[in-house]
Amino acid sequence: MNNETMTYDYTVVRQFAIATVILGIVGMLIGVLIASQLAWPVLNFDTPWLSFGRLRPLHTNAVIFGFGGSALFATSYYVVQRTCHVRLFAPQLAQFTFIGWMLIIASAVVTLPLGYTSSKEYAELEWPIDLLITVVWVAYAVVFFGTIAKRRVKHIYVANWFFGSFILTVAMLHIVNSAALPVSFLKSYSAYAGVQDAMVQWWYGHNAVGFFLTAGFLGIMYYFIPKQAERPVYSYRLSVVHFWALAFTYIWAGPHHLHYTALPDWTQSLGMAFSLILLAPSWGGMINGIMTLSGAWEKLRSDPILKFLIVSVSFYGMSTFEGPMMAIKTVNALSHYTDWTIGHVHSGALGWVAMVSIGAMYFLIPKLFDTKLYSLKLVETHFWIATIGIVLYITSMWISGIMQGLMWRAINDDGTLTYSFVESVQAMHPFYIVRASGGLLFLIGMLIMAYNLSKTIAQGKAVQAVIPEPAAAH
Amino acid sequence: MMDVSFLLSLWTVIAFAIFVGIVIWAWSGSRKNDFEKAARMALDDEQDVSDEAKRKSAL
Repeated sequence: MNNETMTYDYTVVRQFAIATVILGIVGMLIGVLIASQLAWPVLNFDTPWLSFGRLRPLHTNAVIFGFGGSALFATSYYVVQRTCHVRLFAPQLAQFTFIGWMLIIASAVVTLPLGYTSSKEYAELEWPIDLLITVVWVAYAVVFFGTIAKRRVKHIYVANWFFGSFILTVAMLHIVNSAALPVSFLKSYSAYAGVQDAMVQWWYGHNAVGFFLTAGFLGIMYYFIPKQAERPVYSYRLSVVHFWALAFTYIWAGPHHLHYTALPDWTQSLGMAFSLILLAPSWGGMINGIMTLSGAWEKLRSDPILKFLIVSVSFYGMSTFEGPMMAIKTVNALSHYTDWTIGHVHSGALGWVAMVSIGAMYFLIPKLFDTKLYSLKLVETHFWIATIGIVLYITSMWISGIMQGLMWRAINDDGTLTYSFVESVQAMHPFYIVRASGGLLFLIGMLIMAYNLSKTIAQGKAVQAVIPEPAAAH
Repeated sequence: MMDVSFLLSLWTVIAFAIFVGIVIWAWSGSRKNDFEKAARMALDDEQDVSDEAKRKSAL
């Protein structure tokens, strides 16, 4: 065997890992700006391309696809090689996915502030960019499944099942939801109309949460928690069962985004029922992640990377309990269109997705550069700043959201509304300031991480690790 | 009788049966050893890695 087949390909993993940190900072910086705009509208600067309406989709695209997407590319390329004991299939194609993905993020940064949008949430990018996403995604699937196909171990590890389902499902969701009729280079109309359009959008939207932001990150959990805790997966059979349970139920939950709309009532009830069922597979994953630490609980006291990973799974459990509750129609009657939803999303996005990615990057980047972390103390600092930031963010949005919902539905004896809308806006103001400061703390944590990791990279060197023989061969 | 909604209902029942089958399969005693080995797969990927065998490469 020559050197090419004896080593893992870490080049593309390194590129995506560094992109994760940089795009995380960019996306969260925009998040802090738009949170501040809600508290202090003067920060819109009377400029259309700096206004909340245009920067908000830029924030969501940058954090979900820039930060989260890069973390998924980096970890899936790393994990699939290491658990299949084989070098990446078609490394040039993998290189193309990096360049293509960065081009997509760059075009979002240009087109969204200029106001080009398909107006579909989390799918705002216009049709030429959608085509590029499709091409990059097919290349990603070829690299990932090609690597699985040439694996040197018989069993496909559970993390790869999660990554694989994420890649397949996102391909299907993207193609169906982005179907559109172009009328000019940067303008198109959805292929669907009316309530069908809304249902297709939220079938996409909720499964983007389910497969992009859940299945993919469960893949991260199933590799990096056993690795950092040095413990095997708590229950492998539970991992198999909750994988299939997630796959069979998530796809039905989308209608809960459309409660009390023109969507047929039975469809709303179906979405609510499946959202409630989802609690079981979600908690199966949470229990499996946390219990992997059994026999090694004391590590949680001394290891800040493990703190990130385990607290992230705890937030996953919290937000997947909160989600089904909010999908109940009577609860949703209060929570819908309020800040409670924003708080819920961020307990998942900051608490689960960002924390598990951060933990994985602290593990991964020293490995990729054949060195140790520059400072574990700074990781500890990052952990506490980020945790306090999340708590401020979520609690302020809970209070603000429930207050909004109660003010909007309050009725006087004579049937008139107790509060005018602007009174509820005024009541939200202090909570918007608390939310912005919570977000700022989380961003400061990311900057500490960037400093720590750049010092780590500077003291290391880029390596391609040798592929060990599969365990079965010994 | 064989209209689209019948086929969709049939598919729902089949999907449920498949899922029950997966649960039974996962809990069958014969899988125990394989699953114990699989649970260690992330940990077993470090063997034979020695520093001198690693080679430098450009970023």
